[in-house]
Amino acid sequence: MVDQIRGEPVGVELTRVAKSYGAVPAVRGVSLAIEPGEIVSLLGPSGCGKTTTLRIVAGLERPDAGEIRIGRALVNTLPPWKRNIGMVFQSYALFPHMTVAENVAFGLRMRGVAGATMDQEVAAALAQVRLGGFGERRPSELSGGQRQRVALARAIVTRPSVLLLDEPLAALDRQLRESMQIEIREIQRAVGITAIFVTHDQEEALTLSDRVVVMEDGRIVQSGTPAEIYERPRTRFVSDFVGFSNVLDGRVAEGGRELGTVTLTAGRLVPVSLAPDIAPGDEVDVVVRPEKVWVAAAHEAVPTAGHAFPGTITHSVYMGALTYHHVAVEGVGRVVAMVPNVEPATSGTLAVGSAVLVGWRPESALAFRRNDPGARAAS
Amino acid sequence: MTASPPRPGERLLAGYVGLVLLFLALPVLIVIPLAFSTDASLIFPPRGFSLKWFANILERPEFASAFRVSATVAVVATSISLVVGTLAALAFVRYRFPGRDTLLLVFMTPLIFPAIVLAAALALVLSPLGLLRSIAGLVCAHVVLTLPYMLRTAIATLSEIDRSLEEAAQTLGANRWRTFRHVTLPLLRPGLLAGITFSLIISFDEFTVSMFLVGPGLMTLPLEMYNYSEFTLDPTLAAISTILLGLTTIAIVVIEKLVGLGRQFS
Ligand SMILES: Nc1ncnc2c1ncn2[C@@H]1O[C@H](COP(=O)(O)OP(=O)(O)OP(=O)(O)O)[C@@H](O)[C@H]1O
Ligand SMILES: [Mg+2]
Repeated sequence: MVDQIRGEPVGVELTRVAKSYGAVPAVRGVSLAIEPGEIVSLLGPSGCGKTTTLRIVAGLERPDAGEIRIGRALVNTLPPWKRNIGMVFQSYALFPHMTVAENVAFGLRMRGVAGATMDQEVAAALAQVRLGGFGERRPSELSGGQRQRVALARAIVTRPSVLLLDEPLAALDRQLRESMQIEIREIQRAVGITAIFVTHDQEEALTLSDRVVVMEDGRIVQSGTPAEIYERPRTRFVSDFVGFSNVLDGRVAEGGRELGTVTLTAGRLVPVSLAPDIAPGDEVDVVVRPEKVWVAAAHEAVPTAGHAFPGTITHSVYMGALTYHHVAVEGVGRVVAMVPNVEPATSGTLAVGSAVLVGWRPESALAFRRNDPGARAAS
Repeated sequence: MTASPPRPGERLLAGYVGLVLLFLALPVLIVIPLAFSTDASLIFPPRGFSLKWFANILERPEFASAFRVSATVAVVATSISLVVGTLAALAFVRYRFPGRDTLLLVFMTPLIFPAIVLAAALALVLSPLGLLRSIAGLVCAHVVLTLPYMLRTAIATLSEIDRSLEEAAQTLGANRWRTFRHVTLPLLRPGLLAGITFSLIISFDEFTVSMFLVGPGLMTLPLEMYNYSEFTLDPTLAAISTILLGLTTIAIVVIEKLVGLGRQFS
């Protein structure tokens, strides 16, 4: 058994874990240390090995190589029922022949908890997911969001050492998903549990996690706080995966330090931030997120010192809270800038056709080598 | 999502019940009135009401004894088929092993083989084992005959059970046995009940194979009825049929009720 003081979170550590299904490698050498009480999300495209990694931690899949530790214990050969984990499946996997209360009570019964204690804990867990009074229903009589919450209650009622969630929100509509994200986060904090959360939704990963682990092709490509992953993606793949960017191609003019310049194919010299292994002369893609690009009417003062490029707004997409302006910039190309609608968008200072200046801070423009193998998933 | 589609076990059972009813309906209309007839000859419609043919059954101990043999064989063979069939279904559905398809085919052959070939084969195998003219021999043969039905319904139901339900149970602390006991088995129940019904009726009704294995002092009910009809063709047979009909109906109604309860699980 994984030794654990009830309510005391434990860490999880994977060391060079690998798993193939026949000839298909699903996970190839994943090393990952998760701190006690941390909520980590595994983010990546379909088929990158997220579920497999989670199932290996759960004990539902046995790795071909590597070590898995929960707490201090090596659990490689420990079956799932001895790992003291809680798992929420993508399909929820609620037992159809049991009521909601019986579903939640299942883990307690397996641990020999019965009678009034069991009833109390079940009621408390259902209250925690705001499903008090639903105990006598069948899973088939619940909505998707309610089923999801039952699955969550069932997974946490036993106070597991680790909570594993496999895209639990994928089937829910946007609004419900967002409120469930907050709920999961709050419950995870309240229970003080270590959690691993699988998702292919970058927004979900950023909002929900202490740390985001981006996977590609069975490997971890980057692991860091949501801000690190978003602001300082290490590869083009990570950059593309965690949000839309402008991509401008060019050649490094000046580099060697962290900041440098790139001569764009379109002609202009722009300031950029360079990955460490990039040298002058390298072909690069310069990646700039829309919210990092400022736009100002041509007659206005330039917001920050540095480069400002003249351009013309070709069209604008109004999104309520913000507007995306597509700007044709001479010697650069088309640049999309995201502008929060601080003033009413109807005020018209940034109308289609108007001459504007655009620019960005050098550290916001990341240059990645063009033939970076990670670049193939370009958006 | 209150109205989820019925599980295959239930669909099988529903279809089966429908077929059985249709099959039974026509002869029933004739057999039941005949059983209460006053005439010794089979005249339809009967000209009076009497219970003497039922009394006649009781007067002839060979019917009671044959009924006991048939019931014992049906229950024992079905129980063995149930256990073997369920375990085999688990192996077939849950694991991929060399020779799996061939083995499955072997299990299913009694469905396709001509009954007479099977009868001769079983007699030839059971004779040197000293199992001819014994309950044990009949049970062996009936296991072979009923197993395909049991296996088929169990496999159909089992392959519809979401694997992640069992995995969820395991992550919640249930070992293999408790997972089977608390999750797989309850979900398998409708399918197994359908299999049990099939099996009981197949066994009770069996004629060709049993004929090779019975002898003086050991008769199954269908064979006893056949023997009787060779000498006397009176409504006694109709009376027996009426009783069997009643029992079958009760069995089906009871199982429908049980599976009907199960229906709200899905
Ligand atoms: N049971 C299995 N048998 C064979 N191959 C499998 C099996 N499960 C997963 N794979 C393969 O292993 C790879 C990783 O699968 P995995 O389910 O871990 O991906 P994932 O990141 O969870 O993807 P998704 O976002 O689509 O759920 C895929 O190529 C997949 O086809
Ligand atoms: Mg997956």
